[in-house]
Amino acid sequence: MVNAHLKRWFPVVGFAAALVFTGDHLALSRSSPERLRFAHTFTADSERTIVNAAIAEFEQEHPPVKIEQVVFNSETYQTIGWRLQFHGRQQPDVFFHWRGFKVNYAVERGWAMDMTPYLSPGFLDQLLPSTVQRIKGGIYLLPQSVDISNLVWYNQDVFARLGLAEPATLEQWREVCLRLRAAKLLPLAQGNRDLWPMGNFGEELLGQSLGAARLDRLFQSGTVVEPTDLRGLGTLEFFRTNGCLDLPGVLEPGGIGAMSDIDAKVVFLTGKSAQHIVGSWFLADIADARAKNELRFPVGLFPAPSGVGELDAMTSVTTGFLVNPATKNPRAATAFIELLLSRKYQSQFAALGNLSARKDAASFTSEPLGQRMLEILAKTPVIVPPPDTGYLPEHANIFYEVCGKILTGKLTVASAAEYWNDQKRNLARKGL
Amino acid sequence: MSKRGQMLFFVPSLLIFLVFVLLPTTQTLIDSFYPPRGAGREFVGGLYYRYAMTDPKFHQSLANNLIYLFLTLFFEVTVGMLLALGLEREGRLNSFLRVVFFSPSVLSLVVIGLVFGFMFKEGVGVWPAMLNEDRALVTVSAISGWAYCGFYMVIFLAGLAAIPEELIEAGRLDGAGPWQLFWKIKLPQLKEVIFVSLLICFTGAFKAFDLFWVLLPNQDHAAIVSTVLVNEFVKFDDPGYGSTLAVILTLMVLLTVAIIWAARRLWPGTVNAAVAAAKS
Amino acid sequence: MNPMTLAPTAPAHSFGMNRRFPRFARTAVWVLLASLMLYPLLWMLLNSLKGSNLEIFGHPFAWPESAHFANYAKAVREGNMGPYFINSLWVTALSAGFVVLFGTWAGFALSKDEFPLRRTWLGLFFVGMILPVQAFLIPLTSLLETLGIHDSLWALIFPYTAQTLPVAVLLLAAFFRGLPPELEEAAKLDGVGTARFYLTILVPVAKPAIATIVVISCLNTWNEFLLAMLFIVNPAMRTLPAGMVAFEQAHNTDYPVLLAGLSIISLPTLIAYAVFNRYVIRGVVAGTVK
Repeated sequence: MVNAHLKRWFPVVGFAAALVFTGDHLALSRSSPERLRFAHTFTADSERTIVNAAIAEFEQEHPPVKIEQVVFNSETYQTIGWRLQFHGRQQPDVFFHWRGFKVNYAVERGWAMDMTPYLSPGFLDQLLPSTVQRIKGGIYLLPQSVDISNLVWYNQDVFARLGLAEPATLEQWREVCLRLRAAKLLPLAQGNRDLWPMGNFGEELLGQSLGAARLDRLFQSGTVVEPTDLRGLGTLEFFRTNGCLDLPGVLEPGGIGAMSDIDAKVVFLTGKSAQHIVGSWFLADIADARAKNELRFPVGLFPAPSGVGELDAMTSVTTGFLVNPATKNPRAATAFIELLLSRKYQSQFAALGNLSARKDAASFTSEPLGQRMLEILAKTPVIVPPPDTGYLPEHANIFYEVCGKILTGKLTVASAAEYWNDQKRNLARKGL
Repeated sequence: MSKRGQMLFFVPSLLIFLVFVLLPTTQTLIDSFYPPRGAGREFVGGLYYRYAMTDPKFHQSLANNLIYLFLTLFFEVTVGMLLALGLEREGRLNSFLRVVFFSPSVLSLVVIGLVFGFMFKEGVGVWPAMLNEDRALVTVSAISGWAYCGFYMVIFLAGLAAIPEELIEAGRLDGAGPWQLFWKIKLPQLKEVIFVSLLICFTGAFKAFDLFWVLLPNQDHAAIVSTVLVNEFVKFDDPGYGSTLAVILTLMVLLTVAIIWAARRLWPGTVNAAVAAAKS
Repeated sequence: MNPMTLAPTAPAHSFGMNRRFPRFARTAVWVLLASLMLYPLLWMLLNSLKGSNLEIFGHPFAWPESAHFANYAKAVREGNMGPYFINSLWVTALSAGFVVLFGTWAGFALSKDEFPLRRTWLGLFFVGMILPVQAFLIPLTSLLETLGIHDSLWALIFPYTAQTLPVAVLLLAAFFRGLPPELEEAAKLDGVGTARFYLTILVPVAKPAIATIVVISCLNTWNEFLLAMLFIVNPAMRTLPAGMVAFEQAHNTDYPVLLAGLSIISLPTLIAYAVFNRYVIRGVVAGTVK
């Protein structure tokens, strides 16, 4: 008798219990002034530690506000994450972004707020004026760092062993790579699956050979790309044809197209390649690997050198934080950003290679590689934006594909211009 | 049951189906005629369709879809049929083997994609270079095959079990060897099951998304229509073109179903004919 | 009496009994194939216990030096799997429940010959069954926002229900047509109201079909990824597949922990499959062969 009753009521009781304990999952969540959501792409453990500390301090000083982190992988964030997050119920209150096309897009769509009324007096003076951009007279982005998109990180033990010095010109660098290959080492570990790693590098090469103005023209609709415009990409072709990107047993020729940049990073950090081209944020990954005792050699860096007679250019982008106008607590949101950008936390970030936008950056960047990067930043006259933040995504995409195809042998520098023009004509049919 | 009662019973399903499937589908059709950018929404007619006709990316993705379709036909359906034929007999070992072969089908394609992605990671994985440009499609099809051959095996097993024993006996009495038994007697009997398998396999090839998104993101050479569609919609913020691709994809699926349906009607062979052939 | 019919159960026509291959070799081949089948899963489990990336690259096929179960703890902690699990359970359970509820209703109604436009509705559901999800994906995002249920579990529950309803309705309509009409007449004579008729007669009778439909619904929704990725942005509301991808992206250089997370996800599904094996297979067959 009891058994029959149990059997009948068990599912009902079970369901009721589930509802009571986990029913909040079914609720339609709502944003509140006391829960701020902070969307960012700091995925390295070392970076997370700093962010967590800042959040803890902020929550202590501003009860009852609590900050919830939404961590994105920067690749996803850059492609689909940054838009999708605004389709959610609880849009982020504070979010990270790269200056350029996407910030302008966000401002146009009403996803960013002018922070001027909420800024503490004198706060803006702490930042480098060149990094503070006024859009329509308002401040929408507070800059956190200036990222250098391409630096050549190298294994100092290997260089010492082969008697190699940091190259000063492009021609010297090519020599270095050839000598590395001759010594049966993988000169460069690059993963171009997502197209932007080497695409940003290609942008720098073109910046060095063309200058910022002419380069910018290439990405506009209606302009024609001449074959001579792309001569800077010859370095990419050089690397491919001379085996600088592959080594039997480590990376197959053409493998660069299938490997992600994360995997390439691991290849370098585990000592399987001599060099790795990636941006200034790599220092955080190096710190991580050292902390886990997985890095067994000293790492050095040098900027991608320009050829004889070429300009000294660099691909770089300012990153920062924005506030969502839909936030229920703009004052707290702005205050949190100011905390992250304060000297205290910026100096912690600086130890991870973050090139702070603060005026006093040089004084607290003590990590030698970080200082080196600041120097490089200060000395380079020509800055070009990476295509994915500087231009319309469709146009940027064409360029990324061109670089990717040159690296996998599908295009040569000679045929690349025609491909680019074809794609532009195609886009024009769509109205772009 | 009263007429009203029947109506009441029917309405909830119809409502949900209408609101969440039919309505959006028509909306997709409408959206394909309007551009997204800018405030003004003007009818642009067949602009996106004309663009699709000339867009090399779309052509590439369509070609990839068709290649994938034929590859999965082999890796999933054919392998599944072979497995079914091999494990037809009853027995403890065979039962166990059947459970094993079907198990990957219950796993999420995301998990499968990530695990295989690991094994095939360029430079760091176990079998590197399997996801390189020239091998990517074949590799992904093989992974699909690994995941779903058990599914088709189960379907074919059910089909084989439904074949009347007398037919087989009659064939054996006439001295037919296993190969002839398969060709002349089993295969015609499996006609229905084969058509269902083709239907599922072909529509599945067009619907495929998960594996490609997880294993080969951003790879243009390995793009299929679904991934191009999602990218257009989310990465490039162009629901107009995305909707156009969706419409074209749907039409292809419907066309495929229609073709298979028609082929089923036209294919000769009924139960009686098989029996007659076996007796003669 | 044909002596052949008295032969032992193994039919001689199956490929297995090919006299060219000795039985032992044949079994060995099959066992080998089965191991190949399970190999990726075993690889995943093995490597999830390794201590570091270096160990995986250095010896991908070797047994782990020592079992680092801490990887699993880390995966659960940082991977947020508890909530993901709960979310997936709710979505799967509720959509299966709705499908069964509304499906049995509609199936019964459509099994009656006198139902107006019966053939049309069945045809409509059939088309709905073969429509690819991409056909209604894009407008669904704005529709969900209009209805106010976007970025919540309901944003998945209703579309999933809508997608499984067609096959459920078709199956149940066919099933109910096979029922003797006396069943309903007897109930009417006894003065049994519609609700009681449904609960006490229809549902128990349709149990096998309902079991099948539950299996089909669960298989469809538990592993679904595309909608889950696009419609749910709030990390706390993610279902397992989308959560897995997010986890992979956040921990993409910690390979052992990643593999541990994947193992954690796969195990319940595999165990459920092992236990409910028979129902799953029956469900697959019924859903496809119809």
